[in-house]
Amino acid sequence: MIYKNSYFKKELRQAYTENKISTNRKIAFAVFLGLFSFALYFVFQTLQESVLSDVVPEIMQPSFFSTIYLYIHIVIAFIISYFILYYDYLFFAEIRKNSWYLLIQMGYNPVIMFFSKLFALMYSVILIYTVGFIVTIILTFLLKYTFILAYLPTLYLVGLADLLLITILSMTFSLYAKTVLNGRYWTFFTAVLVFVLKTALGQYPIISNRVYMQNFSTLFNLQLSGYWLVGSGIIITCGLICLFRSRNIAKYYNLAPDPDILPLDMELVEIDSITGKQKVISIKVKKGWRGRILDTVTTLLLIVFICVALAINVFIIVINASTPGQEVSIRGVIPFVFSSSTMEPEIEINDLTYFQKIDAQYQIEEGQIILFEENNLLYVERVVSKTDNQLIVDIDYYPPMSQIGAMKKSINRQAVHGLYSGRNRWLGALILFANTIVGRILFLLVPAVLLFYQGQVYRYFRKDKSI
Amino acid sequence: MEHGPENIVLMENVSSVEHFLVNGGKSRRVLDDINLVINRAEKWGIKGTSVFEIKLLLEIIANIRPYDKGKCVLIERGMMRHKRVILKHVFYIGSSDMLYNNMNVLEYLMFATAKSKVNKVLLQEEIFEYLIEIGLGHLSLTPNHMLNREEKAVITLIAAAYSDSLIIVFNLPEYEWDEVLIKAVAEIAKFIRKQEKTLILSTQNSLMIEKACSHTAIIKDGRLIYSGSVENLRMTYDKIEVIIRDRTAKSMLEKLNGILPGYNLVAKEDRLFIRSEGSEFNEPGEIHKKIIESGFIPDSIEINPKTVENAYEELILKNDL
Repeated sequence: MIYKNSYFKKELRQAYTENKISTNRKIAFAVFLGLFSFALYFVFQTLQESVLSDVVPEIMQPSFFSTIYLYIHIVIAFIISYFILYYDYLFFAEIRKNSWYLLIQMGYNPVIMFFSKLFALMYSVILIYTVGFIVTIILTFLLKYTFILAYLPTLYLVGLADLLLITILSMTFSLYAKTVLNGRYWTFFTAVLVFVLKTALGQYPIISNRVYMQNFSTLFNLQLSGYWLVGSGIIITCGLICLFRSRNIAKYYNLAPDPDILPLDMELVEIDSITGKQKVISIKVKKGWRGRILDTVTTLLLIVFICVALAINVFIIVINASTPGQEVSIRGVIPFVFSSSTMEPEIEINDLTYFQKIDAQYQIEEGQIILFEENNLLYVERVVSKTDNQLIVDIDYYPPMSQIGAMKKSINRQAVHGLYSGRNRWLGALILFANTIVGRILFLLVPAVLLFYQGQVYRYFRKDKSI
Repeated sequence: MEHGPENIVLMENVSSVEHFLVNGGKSRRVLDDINLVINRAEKWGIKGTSVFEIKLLLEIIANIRPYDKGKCVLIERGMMRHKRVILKHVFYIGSSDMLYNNMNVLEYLMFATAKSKVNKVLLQEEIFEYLIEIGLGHLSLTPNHMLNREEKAVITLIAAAYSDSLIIVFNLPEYEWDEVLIKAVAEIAKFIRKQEKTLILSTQNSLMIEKACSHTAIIKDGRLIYSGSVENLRMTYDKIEVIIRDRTAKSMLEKLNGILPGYNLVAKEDRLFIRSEGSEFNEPGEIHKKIIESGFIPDSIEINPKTVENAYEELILKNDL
C-alpha cells in the first residue's frame, strides 16, 4: 500500500482508521442520530398530556414537523459532543502543537491547509447532518403521518445554518484557546452562544411555527428576525479571522511552558537592562491543581446527579404510595398527581397538585377545590354548595356535547382529605416521565450503575485528565 | 548540492534576557557570555548541568527566543528582528507533539515528505528501508499515538532530515534515551551530515553525544565551559587510564597506591579506576605491567575507552574547584 494522503484526506479522519472506515463511522453516527431523535420523539409522545404540549407543541405534534424539529436540535447537541471528543483532530489545536510548523517546513502552504481544514470539517458536518435528516424522514414515514414537503427544505436549512455557525465559531475560538481543555470548554460555549443569539433575535418563534416554515423566504424576512443577517455576518467575519489568524500563528513556533525543567526553588525573571525592572516569567508550580479541580468537579457532578435521581425516585415512590385514607403528606401537604382533565383550566391533566390536609372542623367554603374519597377512590372536584354535613361537588370541565352538571354529586364532609392549595405543571411532567421506561432507566438504573461502577468512572476521568 | 556558507552559527558574547532569581533574592543570567561557532555539516551535542539552560541556548540559536546582549548570526544571514518567526533554514524540534495521531509512522513520514518531487513509490520504499536501517523497522506501521515521546521525537527528526532546512535543532534535553533510539539518532545524524546539513541537539545523555555527535558544548551555571570536538573532550578530560574489576577492589586500593605514585586511584563497588595525574607513565601497558609485577591478579583489567561521561564529570569537577 502506497500512502498518498493529502492534507484534506488527513482532515477527514478523526482517528487512526482508513478514510473509508472513517466515512462509514460518520454515516453510522448520522444513522444513530436519526434513530435517537425518533426514539426521543416517542418518549415525548408519552408526555403528550403534560405541560410540554403547551410549552413546546412543535415537538409534541403527530407530524413530520415534530420529528424533524427535534432532530435539528438533537443534532446540535451531538455534533458539539463530537467536536469536543475529536477536538484535537478537528480544530486548530494542531497549530499550537506546532504540527503546522513541521508541515510548513516540509513545503506545505498554510492558506491551503486552512481551506482544506475548513472544507473537510464542513463536509463532515454536512454529511452527518444530511444523512441523519434523511433517516429521520424515512423513520417518520413508518408513523404514516401526512407528508408535507413544503417545510422540509426550510427546516433542513435552519439546522444546517446553526451547525455551520457553531462550526465556524468553534474553529475561531480554537485559534485563541491555548490549551485543549480550554478549547473544549469554548466549543461547548459556542452552542450556548448560538442558543442565546437565536432567543435574543426571535428566531425560535419563527422556526417553531409550521405555517411560517412552509415558506422558505420567511427565514430571511428581517422584520421577523435578524438572526440570518447576524449569523451570516458572524460566519463571514469568523471565516476571515480564521484565515488571517491561522496564517499568522502558523508563522511562529509555539513554545509550551514547561515549569518541570526549571531548577527547584528558582524563579525565572526578565530584567529590563535599562530600568532594572523585574518581570516574573515562570515559577515552578505545584503540579496537579487543575487536575484536582477537574476531579472534584467531576465527582461533585456525579454525586449531584445520583442524589437528584434518587430524590426523584423517592418522591415518586411517596406519591405512588398514597392510597385513599392513607395519603402521604409532607409537612401537612398532600402531593397528588391529577390524571384527568375534569378540572381544567384550574388543574390540567397530569399536573402535580398540592392539597392542604384538613381536619373535620375546618370550614370549607363554596368554590374551593377539594380532595375527597369515595368508594375507596380519590377524587378532586369543586364545592358548588354545602349543607350541614354534606357538600355538593362538581367538575369544572365538561366535554363538548355533554350535559353540564351531570357529574354533580353530594359527598359527606368526613370524606374530605385536603383542600387544593396549588399545582406544579413541570413536576407533574417529570413524574409522568419518571414513570415511563426511559424515565425509570434514567432515574433508577443509571444512578444504580453509576453507584456500582463509581470507582471505574472515577478512574476513567482521571485517565482522561492526564491525556 | 549547491555550496552554501560554511559558518552556520556564530554566537559572540550572547547573554539571555532571562534571569534566575534564587529564592526571590540574588539573580543571575540564565546564559551569559556565550561564544560558539558551529560549521556546516557538523553534529553538535549540547550538554550541561541544567536542562533549562541548554534548552534556552538552543531556542536562541533557532531564533525562537530573543537574547539580550551579544551577536548571533545564523548561516551568515543574521537574526531576524521579529523573534520566533519561522526561518526556512532552521528546523526546530522542541516537542514530540507535532505528529498526527491518526496516522502510522510510515504514513506520517510519507505525508510529511509529500511535497518532495520524488516518485511516491520510490520514496516510500526508501523511507521504509531507511527505518529498517536505523533499527526502527518495528515501528514503521505503528500508529503514532502508540509511540512514546522519545520515539515520536525520533520520527520527527527523520522528517526534519528530509526537509530542505540547513540547520536542524533537536532540543529535547529532558527526554530519556535508550540504546535503540540513540543508535537511530546516530544514524539519522550521519544521514543529515551526508546532506551537508548541520544538526544541533541538546541532551543530558553522554552516550548520545558520544554516538551521534562530532562536536559538543558544555554549559555550567549559564556559561560555556567547553566547546570543541567530542574526540578532544574525551581525550583531554577523561583521565581514567585503566579500570580493574575485582571483588577485592577496595583492599587493592591502598596497596596499589604505593606502586602507582603518579596516579589517582578511586574504588567504586567492585571497580577500581586508575586516573593519570600528569604521570610520566601514561601508557596503560605500563600500569598493567606494574600491577602484575606487584603480584596482584585481578578478575579483569581493561583499558578505559575514554567516554564522554567521564570527561564530562571531570570537566564539571574541574570547574567546581
